[in-house]
Amino acid sequence: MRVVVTGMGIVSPLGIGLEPFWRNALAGANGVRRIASFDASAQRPRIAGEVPDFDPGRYLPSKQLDQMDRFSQLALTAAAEAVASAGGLSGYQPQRLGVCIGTGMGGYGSFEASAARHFRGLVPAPLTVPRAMANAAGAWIASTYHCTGPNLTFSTACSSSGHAIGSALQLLRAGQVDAVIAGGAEACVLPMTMAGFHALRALSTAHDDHPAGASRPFAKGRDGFVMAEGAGLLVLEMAERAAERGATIYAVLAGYGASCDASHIVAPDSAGQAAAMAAAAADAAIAPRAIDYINAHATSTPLGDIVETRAIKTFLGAHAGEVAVSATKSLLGHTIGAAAAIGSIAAIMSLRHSVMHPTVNLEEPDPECDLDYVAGTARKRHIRVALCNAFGFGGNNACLLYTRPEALEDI
Amino acid sequence: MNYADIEANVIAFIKRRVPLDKPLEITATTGFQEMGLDSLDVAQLLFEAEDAFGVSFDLEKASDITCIGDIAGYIVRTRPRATA
Repeated sequence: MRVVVTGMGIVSPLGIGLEPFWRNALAGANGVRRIASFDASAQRPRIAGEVPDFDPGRYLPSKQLDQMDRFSQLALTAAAEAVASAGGLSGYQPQRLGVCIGTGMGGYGSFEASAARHFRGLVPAPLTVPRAMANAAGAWIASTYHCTGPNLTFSTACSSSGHAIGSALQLLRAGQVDAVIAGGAEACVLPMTMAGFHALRALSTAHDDHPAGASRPFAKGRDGFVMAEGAGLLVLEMAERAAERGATIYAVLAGYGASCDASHIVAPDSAGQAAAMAAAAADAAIAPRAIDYINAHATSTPLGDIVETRAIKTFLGAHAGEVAVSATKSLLGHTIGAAAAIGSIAAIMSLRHSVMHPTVNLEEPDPECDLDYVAGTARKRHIRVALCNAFGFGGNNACLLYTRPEALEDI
Repeated sequence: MNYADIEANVIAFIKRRVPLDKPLEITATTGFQEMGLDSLDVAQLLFEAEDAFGVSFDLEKASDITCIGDIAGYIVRTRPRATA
């Protein structure tokens, strides 16, 4: 009853496609820049992780483009790569194909644009609602690939795509589907949305003149996260069926753990986070000491990175010092609802290629953040088991455990 | 601008905005249905035409607009008010 990853697709501030993402991640490249998509000169912060040179017309027919918010365009572009890398899904009955998508804000861009018109006394665009609704990306993926099975959208802020992928695992185990396109998408580098996060004091503002230094998880002097956009999608299917059709198996999705802090609407709690990590390991029937690598949630907020460090220690005990941890958000900022999917792709690439991308901007760690964070440059290591953490506002935690295809038998 | 100019501008606007699946000669009497547009597509088109031509379509009466000539006619009838 093993569920495997047979396809991956990604659109991120490090580039469009898996190859540029991973090449740039290993090089410690940085996707945070001055905001280009709108005039941000009058606001703070003025920086974000935007997908460079994203021309959706290259990937999508123009009529569809009009009907889609940017978050759906990013999702569909990542889905195309994921499905292609899986070798297509034509071997499955349409009603046995599911879609599970996570997004924190959905089509807020379309909503913001229409709100601006409405409050100037103008009619909003007729497609405001179908563009803005959170389930739009899932609907477009389903109609593009004719997936007529369950189509679910998860919106749990920064852990959205963690639950999307975890729930896809459960649909597969329950025998309700044969394959799922699962992951997340977010496009909230937007004036009003960012102003809202800024009002909450969640965003970094101290590095507007040096964008590449702004996202600095675990480092001394970090002052908030950097808003980013992107999409990451996986194709998940049962190992036996994948092997039968000769698909490339990138990794096993071995476990999913979910929990809620049930304490504060935005402040994270290490007990809740540790519980989700433990639940993922238990779900996979893997001992915590078998974990080699953690793709951390690590958003670069002053409190969050300390709480996650504590949670990892609670979960792993003495083994915490032997685990390598890296922060994908140090490279590209925080993609909110897409973060767990993008972190998962980084973890899977680490499993496949026995190398971890670095955590950048970590010249001087916070004394309260004292794990092995793969600081500075990429590091080679044979990884059999990797954990991906995602923790959202609302105390909403999702952890995913991946293993090498051959690893489960001997762990 | 006379009616003929406005009609020509609307036809140019439609040609620019609507990708056609099959070859079709676009004239003032070409219907939206003929062009493969559904009611949502037409609503979006009228929305964009508002900005392009400086008019405001009455959404309650939009169902009366079924072809390109209807858009041109609407602009001619309402433009003085819209630009006042």
